[in-house]
Amino acid sequence: MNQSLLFLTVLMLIALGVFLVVKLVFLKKEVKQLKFKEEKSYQLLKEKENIIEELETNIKLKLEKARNIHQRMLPDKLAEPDDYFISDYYQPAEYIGGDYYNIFKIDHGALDPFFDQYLVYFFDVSGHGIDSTLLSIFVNESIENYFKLRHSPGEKISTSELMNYIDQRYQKEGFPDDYLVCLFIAVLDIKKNKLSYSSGGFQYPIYKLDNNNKLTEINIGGLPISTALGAIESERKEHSINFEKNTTLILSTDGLLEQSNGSGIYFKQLQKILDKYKFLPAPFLNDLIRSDFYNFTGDNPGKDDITYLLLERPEGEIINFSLDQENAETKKTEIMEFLNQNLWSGHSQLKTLKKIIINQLKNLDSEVKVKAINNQQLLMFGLEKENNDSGWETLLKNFPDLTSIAEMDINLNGNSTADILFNQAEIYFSHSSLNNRIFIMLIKEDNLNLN
Amino acid sequence: MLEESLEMQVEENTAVLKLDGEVIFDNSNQLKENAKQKLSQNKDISRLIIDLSRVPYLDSSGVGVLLSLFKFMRSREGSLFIAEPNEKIKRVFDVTKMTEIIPVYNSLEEAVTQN
Repeated sequence: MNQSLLFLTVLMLIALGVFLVVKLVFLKKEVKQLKFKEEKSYQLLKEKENIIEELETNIKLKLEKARNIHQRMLPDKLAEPDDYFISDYYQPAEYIGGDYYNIFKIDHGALDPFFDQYLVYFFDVSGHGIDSTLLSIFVNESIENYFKLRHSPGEKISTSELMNYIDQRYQKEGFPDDYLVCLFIAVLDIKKNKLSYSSGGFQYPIYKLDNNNKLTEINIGGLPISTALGAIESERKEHSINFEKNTTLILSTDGLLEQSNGSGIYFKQLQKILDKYKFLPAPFLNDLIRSDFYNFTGDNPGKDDITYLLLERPEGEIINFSLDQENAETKKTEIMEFLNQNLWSGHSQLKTLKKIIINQLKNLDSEVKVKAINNQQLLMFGLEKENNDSGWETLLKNFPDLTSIAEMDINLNGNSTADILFNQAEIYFSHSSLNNRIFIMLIKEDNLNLN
Repeated sequence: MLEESLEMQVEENTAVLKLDGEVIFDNSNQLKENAKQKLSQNKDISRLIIDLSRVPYLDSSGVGVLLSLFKFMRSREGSLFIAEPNEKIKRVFDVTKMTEIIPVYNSLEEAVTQN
């Protein structure tokens, strides 16, 4: 009996062992299958990830290409009337922006001596994709076409007619109805000192600093160009602004003014800056706005393009000429006379300023354009070299004490606006975005922004 | 703004489209498509009121969405109204003269009761 029980127990144990072995084999097989499935899923996931990554890279590349196209479309140089200073700033959004601006002299052919007019325009198209670049191309091409096909030399240019022309072409092209174009287009008539303009779509104003040191907001709103609205000829009225001496216009798209720092938008702050530093010439006011803006945003470039343009007709004496190897000596004498003029030749920094200018004008290997203003408050000297491969590094090397507002840490007062006390002890320096033009400025009276 | 933040209520021939959050480039296209899809499901809607009481901000793409819906309603011989925009958005409408083509009301009730 005991033997049978023992046998039965052994048999059961053997059976259990066999069962466990079989179970283990199956489990191993199952684990193997699961592992295989997991590996396959992982591979699939990886493949999908790679596809997504490739697509993302592809989109980024395409957007970068479109951004390059957009930037190449921007003019290398803005036309500048003799008695004016034009200063611009453009920072595109992460990939592509929809902002564009340009200034060119209007061709009146044989009648040019009777006219001295410039077309000034800027626009912002909705969105920031490849489509916005195509829209920008379209608007530019429409303006170009208007002057080729619709305008004859000597003929009056109506900005409202020009806007209607662009609007009608836009409607014919049948752009999607959620796209829109905000456009400001103006004719600057130098002989009449008047800027005539039409515009639509902008929610923020432009600013005029005038000869009474008054800051005026000019509303440039109106309906945008959009296929949802259709062509709206009656809405495109023409307005005008007088451009007396000592006037600066500040034109901007929404990107600058709408930018928020969490507690407010830059729109209000810009007014304070313009009011406080209205004595600054356009290139330096441009630098100050840029510094103040990035200080306001904590160096956050934001999602939109940052575009602004300053047009200044300064007061005071202006010299404006080109200097080459042939006329260099005569012109250098003229420059020195200009610097010695007026009752301020005792300025502590005048000697250094002369040194800088002489230094820049020696060994001329290409033409240099000189444009300077001298008025009661300041003297600003502008030098432009067509071929300036080395930039202005040598200048900064030789004169390291020059003060650049664009690169300085601006002091802040309680309102977080730039707080710079411009003074006679400094020589201020600015360079254009293309780095082919520099401006050097002396202040004749300390703390002008406190006046 | 996701689909969930776009609600539409219909009563007779009037639809109230309530938006929630910023309407900007990033979400404007999806929002426009969703709104049009909802409107297409009901051909009887001839009055569309866009309730902006919960929209803090709209950029130019957002304005584009409203213009697109304006055209959509016009194509079915209907009309579009805007209700309860905040001061900032109201200013955009005033300055760009969009108020001349799209009526803007300070409250939803006011927009609903208009003929």
